[in-house]
Amino acid sequence: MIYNQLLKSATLFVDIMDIHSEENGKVTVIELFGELDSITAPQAQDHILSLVKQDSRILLDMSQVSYMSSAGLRILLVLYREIQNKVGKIVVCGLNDEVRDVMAITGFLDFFHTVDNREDGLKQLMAS
Amino acid sequence: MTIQEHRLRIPALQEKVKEACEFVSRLARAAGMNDDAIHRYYLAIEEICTNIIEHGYSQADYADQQPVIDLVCRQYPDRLSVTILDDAIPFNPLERAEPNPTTALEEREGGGWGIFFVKKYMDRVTYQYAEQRNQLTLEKRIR
Repeated sequence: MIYNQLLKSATLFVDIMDIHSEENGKVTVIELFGELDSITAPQAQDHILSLVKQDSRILLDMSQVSYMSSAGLRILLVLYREIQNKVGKIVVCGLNDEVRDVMAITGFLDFFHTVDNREDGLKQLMAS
Repeated sequence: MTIQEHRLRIPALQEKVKEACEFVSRLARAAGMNDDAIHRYYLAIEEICTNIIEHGYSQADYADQQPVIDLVCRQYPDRLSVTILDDAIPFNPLERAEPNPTTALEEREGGGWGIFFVKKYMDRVTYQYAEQRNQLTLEKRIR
């Protein structure tokens, strides 16, 4: 499990969330790397929001996010609202079991369309 | 009955919270907890310590006191208990109104999920104010 590997290599951590973004046709793919916690999430928020334009179709790839706390939920909340305001769409892919559970018990999962992998997400957003 | 006790004190700084999470995770692992339970402890400790730093110690009164957070872990044969202690004004987080997971995201106010996780993820959570300290105890059975 990724989480265990991270715990073991804890001393190697840098408290920064890496964010990659790329345009793939009409879809903006945002890939997050690392842990979304109370240190990294506030730093990542502005960057992530700046990627949302009018009518954006966003694919949020979280396959490299090993851990998310309530600070990460806050990002998902503001991202969701920003996309609503800009009449965009979002699909989330690559949730691990722990992150999915955090989203499930707080009801966030009910408001996001999720798919297993990036290919499925791209397909859905391209077709929409 | 043998009870093993371990203690950690961290400065009440956000960048030190991870130390507390890892301290408890290590003990949970050593106690034989599975990955899911370890994740739940890790998350609970982050949420509680963050709340203490952001709310409990947010007043200017604490700025020059170098406030701390103490953790006391006790391993019983059947369960692990973690008490988190702070010196902020008395506050029982368990009395706070819970956010509702069915509320539409458009209408959510954002806060309160931390303690929500703690209640969901632990088997028992108790609060007391004693010896002039907030003391929140999390317990989870070892399966």
